[in-house]
Parts: sequence; C-alpha cells; structure tokens
Amino acid sequence: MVRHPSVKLIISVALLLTSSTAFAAEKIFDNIDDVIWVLVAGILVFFMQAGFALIESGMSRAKNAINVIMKNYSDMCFGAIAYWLVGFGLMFGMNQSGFFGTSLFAIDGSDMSMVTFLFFQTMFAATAATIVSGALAERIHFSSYVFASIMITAIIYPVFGSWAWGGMFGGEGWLANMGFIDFAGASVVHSVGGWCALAGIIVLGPRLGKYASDGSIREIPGHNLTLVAIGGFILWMAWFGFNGGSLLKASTDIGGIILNTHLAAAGGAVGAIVFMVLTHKKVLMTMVINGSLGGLVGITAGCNLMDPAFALLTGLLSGMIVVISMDMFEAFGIDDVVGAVSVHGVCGAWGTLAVGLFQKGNMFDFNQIFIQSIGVLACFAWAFTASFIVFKLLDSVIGLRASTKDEQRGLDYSEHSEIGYPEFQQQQLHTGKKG
Amino acid sequence: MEVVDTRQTALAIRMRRVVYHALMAEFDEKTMIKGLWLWQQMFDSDPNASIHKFCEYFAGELGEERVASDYVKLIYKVRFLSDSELGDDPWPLMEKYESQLNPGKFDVEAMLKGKVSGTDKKERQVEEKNSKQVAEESEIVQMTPWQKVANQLIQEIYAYLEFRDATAVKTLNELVLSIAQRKEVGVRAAYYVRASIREKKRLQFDSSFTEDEVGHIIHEIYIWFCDYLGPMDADKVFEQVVRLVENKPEALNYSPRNFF
Repeated sequence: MVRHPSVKLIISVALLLTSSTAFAAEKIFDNIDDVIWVLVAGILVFFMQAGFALIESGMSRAKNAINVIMKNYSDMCFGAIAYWLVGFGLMFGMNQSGFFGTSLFAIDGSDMSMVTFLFFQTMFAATAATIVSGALAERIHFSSYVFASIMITAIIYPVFGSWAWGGMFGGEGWLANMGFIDFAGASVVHSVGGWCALAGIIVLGPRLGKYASDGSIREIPGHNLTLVAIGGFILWMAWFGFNGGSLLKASTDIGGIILNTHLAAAGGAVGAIVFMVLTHKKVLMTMVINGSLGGLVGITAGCNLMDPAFALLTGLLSGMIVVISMDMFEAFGIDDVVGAVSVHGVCGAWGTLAVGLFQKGNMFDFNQIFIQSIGVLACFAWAFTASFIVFKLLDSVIGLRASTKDEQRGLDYSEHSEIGYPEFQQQQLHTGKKG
Repeated sequence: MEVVDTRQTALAIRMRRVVYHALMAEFDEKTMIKGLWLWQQMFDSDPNASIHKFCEYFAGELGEERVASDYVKLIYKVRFLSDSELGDDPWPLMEKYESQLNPGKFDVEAMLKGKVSGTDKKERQVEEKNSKQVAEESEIVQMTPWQKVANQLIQEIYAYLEFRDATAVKTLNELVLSIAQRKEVGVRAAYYVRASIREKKRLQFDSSFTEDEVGHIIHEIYIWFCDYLGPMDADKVFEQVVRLVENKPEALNYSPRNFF
C-alpha cells in the first residue's frame, strides 16, 4: 500500500505519461505506409549529418578537419541521448502552459508509432545542433562544444519547438495557438541553430589572424572545396526527406513538397550567382553552395503551402540574402567559418516570413505576416539569449576557446591527437614530441 | 662506405649560389671567386658559418671593412629567393680559378677561432672589430642543441623580415620587449631580451632562457605574424623558416618544430 504523497505523485505522473503515450500512438500515423515513409525520411535526415560534416570540414583548414568531423559525429550521439531523455518531452509532451512539455521523457519502446516519431524528431534535433558546429570551427574546445550541443538538443531547441509545434499530445504551444506556421522547421530547426551559432561566435571571438589589428579582413580558405561540393549535394538530397517527411504521412502531397524544395534550392544557387555577377563579385563556389542551402532553408517553412513559382522565388531571394548577409556579418567581425548564421539563421527567418507573403490562396496576408514576425523574433530572442548564457557559462566554467597554441597546432592534434592527412599535410609545424 | 662530399650537399650548393647571386654585381669575376673560396672554406670548417663574419673578413681582405654590412644586407636580401630565381652553382668557376687564387692561403681555422694574428693593420682592425662577436660565438658553441636551434630559428625569422619589410623588425623588437616587460619570461631572460635588442638590434637566445620561455616567445611572434601577414601566410613563413633550420646539423639533435 502506497502511503507517501510524493510516491503517489510519481506514480500518477508515470500513469499520465503512459496514457498520453498510448493516446498519442493512435494520432500520429494512420497506417504502415506512413511509418515506412517517415522512417525513410528520418534516415535521409540522418544523412544530412554527413553533408554537414563534409561541408564544415572542407571549409576548415586541414589542421582542423578531424575536429570538425568529431564535432558533427558527437553532437549526433550526445544529442540523440539528450533528446530522448529530456528534449522530446519538453517539445512534444503535454503542453498546458504553452511554453514547454511536461511528459514523454525517456519514453520506452512499447509504442512503435511513438518511437518512429521520436526517431524522426531526433534527427531534426541533431540537425539544429550540428549547424552550430561549422560556425564555431577551428577554435572551440571539443568538450565545451559537446556540452553546448547537449544543451541545445535537450533544452534550447525543444523549448522553441514546443512553442511552434508542441501540443500534438495535449495542450498547445503559444505560437501555434496564434497561428504561427513553420511546416518543417525553418525557424524551429534552422533559425534556432543559426542564432545559437551567432551567440557562440560572439562569445568565442574570431579565429587567430582573421581580422588584422587595423581591422582588415583576412581570407582563411577551406582546405578541400570538393568535399564542400559533395556535402552540398548530400544536404540537397537529404532535404527531400527533411521536408517531405515532415508531412508525417505517405501521401501524394509529398511530390509537391519535394518539387518546391528542389526548385528553391536551385533558385538559391541561381540567386547567389546572379547577385554576385550583378555586384561584380567573383562567383565563389562556396557562396553558390551556401546560396542553394539558403534556398533549402528558406522553403522549409512553407514548402507545403506555396506554388512552385513562389517556392522558386523564395529560394532565389534566399540565395541573394545569403551573399549579402555573409558579407555583412564578416564586416561586423563575426567570424562564421561556414556561413551558418546567414544560411540557417537569416534564411530561416526569411523563409518563415515568406509563408505570410506567398501562401497559396492567401498571398500577402498581413495578419499572417505579423504572426510570422512574432515567431521569428521570439525564435531569435529565445535561441540567442539562452545559448549566449550557455556559452558564457561554459566559457567561465570549463573554458570555451582553445588556446592560441592549440589553434596554431590545429585542433586535430591538440584535441584528438590525430591528423587528417598525415602523409600530405604540409603545414604541420608541431611534431607532437612535446606537450 | 660512400664518402659524402660536403661541398656538394644541398645546403652547401644553395649557400654558394646565394653568396654568388648576392655579390656578383659588386666585383669582377676573380674577386668574386676569391670571396666564394673564402666562403667555401669557412663553410667547410663550420656549416653554420656566420654570414656577418664572412662579410667582415671578405671586406677586410679587400680593405673595405666599412662596406661589410652592405654585403650582409645583399646576401640576406637574396637568401629567401627560390631556387629558380638564383643563378647557377658557381662551383665550376671556382674550380677553374682554384690554382690561380691559391685559396689555401685563407687561415679559416684561425679566423673561426678568433686567432688571426696578421701583422697587417687592416687585419688587426678586423680582429678588434670582431673580437666581441667571436667571444659571443664561442658562447654559442657551448650552447645546448636546443639553444642553438632556437637562435637559428629567431635569426631566420629576422632575416625573413629584413627581406620583406625592414621596418617590421622594429615592430617585432617592440613585441619581444613587451613580452619581457609583461614578465612573461623570467628575470634573467627579460634582462637578456632587453640587452640583446639594445646592443644587437635583434633578439638572441642564450642560457638565460628556458626551453619553455623560448617556446613562449616564438609562439607570441607567431601570433604577431598572424596579425601581420594573416594566418595562412604566417603558417607558410614559419614552415619555410623551420625547414631552413632543419637543414642545419644542430637540428639532428633537436627539431625546431619542438618550439611550436
């Protein structure tokens, strides 16, 4: 016989959690086709990690290539556990306050439908975290990054997610309640990642020598642009799962979503090229790839609601925004190695607003634009502030920035005692004989 | 067992080409060849033969001690040229004039040990002028391998800066002085930093420094190079400098890369 009130409370909460899980199972997927499609889409989203790893590694110097890959690999691993334990519950649990969920923490495997949904959402959480990795490349301590990515996947990403998407299993997020639309996560996933990256960059500071003492900007080119291109193609392909899978059912609507996704990516690349030509800049491959990624991010919010022509326009403008934004951030002393803030943060915000502009049958709906604007601002306020606090705390407790000596040696050696290209690396000043 | 001709090693050939390329416009062919034989014999006796010392002896031989520093500048100026920019190895020319010049007359051993006892007034002047330097180089001989390598490293860094932008040398010296002033090195090392920059206009290392202090100073110089040239070029320059030092015998006992 249970007498103690706290034990009764725990049992009650456990029962509530179990019941909500069972209730939820009937709501998520109608049939096995939906489950299979969402699983396949989730696998595609998982493959985005490979794309990010290649892009970020290729855009870094050879002496940091392994460190970048390690960060991508680790945020997926730690993030998956953190999201299963805490994040999923905060995001999709019973959301009576409108600000975070309070159930579905560390769910068991009794409900396969729920597990499928968790698997798909875990890949999204990892994507939000891995966006930060590239921006902070070449100068952040590996351990600090891992802690930061755990905080992003466990708290920062899920809390905003609960505002926009929460309430599937009871209650409703306050943004969702207002009518905020973000179909596949332009704000929820990409802007959150982008703003976290911005906070991290500000706390970390630029790489050694990126800005001269007279303020001039130094180019620090990546070591392998072929990897960057392959990474771009992989991300493009995986995005079909990212947006298509967000429908959560195997339906003919997937075709339209994927076509819009494809057109926006193409438009993003074209937009970047056209803008660079018109402004007499060199047409940089890295910028073109970032343009296409900007297009993909931009269409993520409204890929199920736009006609193909407007999806293309959204992507086209995203590509131009990426070029302007990257130059602007660089001029302001924001050393973003891969352009993550521009591609994910800024284009995510633009894409979210574009839903209010180009929604099929409801173009230029100012009420919707207003709601979308609130969502965009809330996303920035929450993600930037929360992650800034996290990075500041990490900086003061365990140290965020690698030492200049480690930066000079390269984080591959100093953080992992491994070198990406032992037979070919020419710039390895340090032999590793001494500490 | 195959005997290696030390006069035909890569370093020997390169240094010969550097000296020839730097000074050939200054002298007629025979005088130039004479200088090259002097250099060759100094190099044979000590592969780390100082360019300053060679220039002083050579200028002394010619009775032009006052222009020795000009010769040093000329040699440093071409020291970082690529192989393709340097002229051919003057060795065939040197062999051609070997019998006429009788290069054996240079008492290089004595020169390197500071025991030149010439009665000629000019030679005595050279001896006096260089006595201090000889004493210093004797101290260098007593240095541990890492100290010798550290000195070679810092001198190559200075040589690069002199070649690229002589005004930057002053900035580098200010940086090193500020390191001493901020007490980032010990008292003895800080004193020596100030003394060497005041007297020699450049940093030198001696036994006043610990290995860590040298590593710290070189790292601070690297950071300054990142600001001065950008991180990509800083890495390239330091890689070149390290390779130059690695070609020297002391690097067999201690790698200059240990300082990074």
